[in-house]
Amino acid sequence: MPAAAPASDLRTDKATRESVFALVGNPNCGKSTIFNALTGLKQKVANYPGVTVEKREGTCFNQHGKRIHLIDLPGTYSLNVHSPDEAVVRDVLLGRRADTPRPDAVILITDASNIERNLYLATQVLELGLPTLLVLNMTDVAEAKQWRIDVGKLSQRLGVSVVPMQATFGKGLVELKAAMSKLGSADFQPVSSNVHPARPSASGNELEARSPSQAGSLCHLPIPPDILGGLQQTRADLIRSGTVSENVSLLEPLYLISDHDPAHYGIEDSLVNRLAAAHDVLEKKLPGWEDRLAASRYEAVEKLLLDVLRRPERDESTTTDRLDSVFLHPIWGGVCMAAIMLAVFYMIFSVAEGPMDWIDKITGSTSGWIEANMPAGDLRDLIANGIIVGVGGIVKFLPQILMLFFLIGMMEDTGYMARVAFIMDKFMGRVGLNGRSFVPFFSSYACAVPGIMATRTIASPKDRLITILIAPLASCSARLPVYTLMIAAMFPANGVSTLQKASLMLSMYVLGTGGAFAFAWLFNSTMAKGRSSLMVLEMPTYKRPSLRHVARYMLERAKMFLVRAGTVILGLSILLWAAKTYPKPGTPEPADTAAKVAYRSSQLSHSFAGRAGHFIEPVIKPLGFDWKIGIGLISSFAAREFFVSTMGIIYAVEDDGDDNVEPLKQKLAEDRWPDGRPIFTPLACLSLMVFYVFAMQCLSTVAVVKRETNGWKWPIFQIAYMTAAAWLASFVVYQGGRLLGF
Amino acid sequence: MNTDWQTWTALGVVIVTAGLFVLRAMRKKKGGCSSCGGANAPIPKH
Amino acid sequence: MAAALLLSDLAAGAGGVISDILLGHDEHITRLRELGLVPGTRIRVVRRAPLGDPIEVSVRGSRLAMRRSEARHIHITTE
Repeated sequence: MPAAAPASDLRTDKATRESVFALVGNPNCGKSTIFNALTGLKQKVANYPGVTVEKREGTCFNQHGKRIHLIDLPGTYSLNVHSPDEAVVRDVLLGRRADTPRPDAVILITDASNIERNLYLATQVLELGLPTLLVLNMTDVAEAKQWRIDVGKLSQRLGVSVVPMQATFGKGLVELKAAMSKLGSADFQPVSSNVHPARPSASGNELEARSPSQAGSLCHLPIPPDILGGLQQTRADLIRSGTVSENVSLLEPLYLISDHDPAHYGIEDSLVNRLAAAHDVLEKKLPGWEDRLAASRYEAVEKLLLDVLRRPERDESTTTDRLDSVFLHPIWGGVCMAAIMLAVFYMIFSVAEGPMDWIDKITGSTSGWIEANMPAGDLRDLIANGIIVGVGGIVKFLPQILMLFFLIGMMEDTGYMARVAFIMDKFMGRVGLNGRSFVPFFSSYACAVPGIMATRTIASPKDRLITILIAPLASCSARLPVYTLMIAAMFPANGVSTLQKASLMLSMYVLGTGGAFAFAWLFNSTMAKGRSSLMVLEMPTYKRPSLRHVARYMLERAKMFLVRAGTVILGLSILLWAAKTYPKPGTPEPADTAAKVAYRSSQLSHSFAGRAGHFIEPVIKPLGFDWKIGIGLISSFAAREFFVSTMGIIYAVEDDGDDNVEPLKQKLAEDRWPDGRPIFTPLACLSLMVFYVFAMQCLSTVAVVKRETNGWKWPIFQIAYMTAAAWLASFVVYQGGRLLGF
Repeated sequence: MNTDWQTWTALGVVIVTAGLFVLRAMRKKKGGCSSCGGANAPIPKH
Repeated sequence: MAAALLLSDLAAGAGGVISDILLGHDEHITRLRELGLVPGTRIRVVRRAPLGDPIEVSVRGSRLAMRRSEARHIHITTE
């Protein structure tokens, strides 16, 4: 057959171009471990345009030193697409993406301990006719289940090389590279591609042209004849209507008409209706053809496995079973989870505390050094107080973020994450979310940034979006300084017990959590778009975590945050500095310390930010806030904890570099409205705390939400709804409190 | 004057930053969605 | 004796053969069948979550979790 090598337009000259291999496999099959092992550090991560599907590419060298370009495609159960990441797999394998070349070969990775389900995808991928190599990963897990897989027979029946591996332990990597070298060499022609290339003759009849010797093999068996005929008719119709081009294979229309992704990612809008019509025509002719197709594929897999796989009559009790009998025990399961989550929090706050202090110190001493060594002037002030303090205040949270990513990565890698989702599903289901939302939301109590970035594991787009929207309502650690200052200001005398202060603090956490669930429920019941998807969750076997893999995950996420959010944060830090500095007063800054402090305070109140504070005063007055608090609110949009330092400047408190709130507290207590009433009454403090519970005042979160939702629409909505909620809640607290006579 | 150049440089940095923000927002609005790349573009058929 | 039941009715440890899947949304049903839940497949309930929902099932040697509201659509015959 002439088309043994798939003829893609993108392929110009095979000799001069490095070959492209794609890694395909089910989720949890160890694909990324193999990808990492093959490419090492030579990889890059980006997003496929328009969606948050990660595009992972890397290079490796085969045994002959030839460069191979590797694409790690997202994990998928099937080429019948249900989500954008699966659409990427389909489109790359069919050569439908302009930004990614059609691979020259496929490395199909299967989980040996789930071989039956994994071979379902294999039947679809082998049909495509690309040179394919099958990796049988996690053979150790299969062995633990007492499954015996005859690798030779499997290879013979599939017509492709099969490489057994234990990727977590690096076993089988050499064999894999050897097989890749063989696959990449020009003289190698896999059996399957001779049978039915995916870039066929114009007739599209290639699936019928089977050589009898291969009648029993898997790669071309599973399409029943009447469905095959129906599909050929569909293909002809689609060509006639101009929906697909003439030299399209038979399989492309199949996967296009059975696209079940509500967003139809990767399919032109104008074609969606025509494809849906073609699907209906076929459905009318052959009711239930998709069911039968899936069933016949599984039948073929079952038949194949009769010879290849021997397993005990009853499932052996495996390590996973023994662990699950504790981790998912009706009582101990919950206890273990609570203990693990507590440990996570303890690690975040105690371990990250040291590095956070260092960063604080470094920021402080750097800006101090600049102030000492640069002649006084605006630029010095911009660098020392605008850029370094602004960026430093956010970088400060990096240790926490890293720690959280590390722990989330560990939970993912060991397989425990799926158990948390299993346990918490009913609880999260009450407000319309699913179990997968729990860890991202929980992480947000430390910092919403890693929480939001961890939502990528939520399969349902709707649940993922809602989780992103509510995550910043969890009281993160940046709110603590504000709560602390306000609680201190609320009780000027020392006659209040620590317990009372602590319970007030706790009630802020409860309020935030309650608000988050209420909004989740509200969004879930009002957002019509995106039907709730089926909550089918795979329970992977427990694995020993690979530290390298987790470390890579952690660093990658941190880099993503710093690079993407960093530029926005840097820019906005500069603008915020400008708002607090300009217009400049006519007189130069005095040299004497006390006068300088007073000078800065007056300068701030006359700046753009100060004027904005005055400007918004009518809006925030019903909440019990004056224009000075208004300035604090505006500047804490960069990050919440800047409220404290801004108030310090406004109230002309000398910054001694300590976390001591006493001097500021004194000044706050002395401040009065023009009519002589104190501003910081306990009620106003409470109102301000409630405002901080709900308000979205975090640049980093805005930047991350923008990135994770691919646009400004959702971050702007989030700012709007959270600010509205904050205003309303504070209003109720302040006015309600006044009515009650406080 | 020693502080003069600092005043102007700082002002310059602020204006350039603001300009960049405005420019990026403008470009987004004009060209549909520049960061969406080929998502809405027709997919070439072979 | 064969009895017709729903997957959601099975106690932990009990199993049977899938006779039919009646899910409203075809989007849902395709995912289930692609995970190997086609008529004629043996399926066993491994356990319930500590809060009673979802359930974990064993099918074709792999483990899946699904909500009882979803399992209600899967018809089972037991021997």
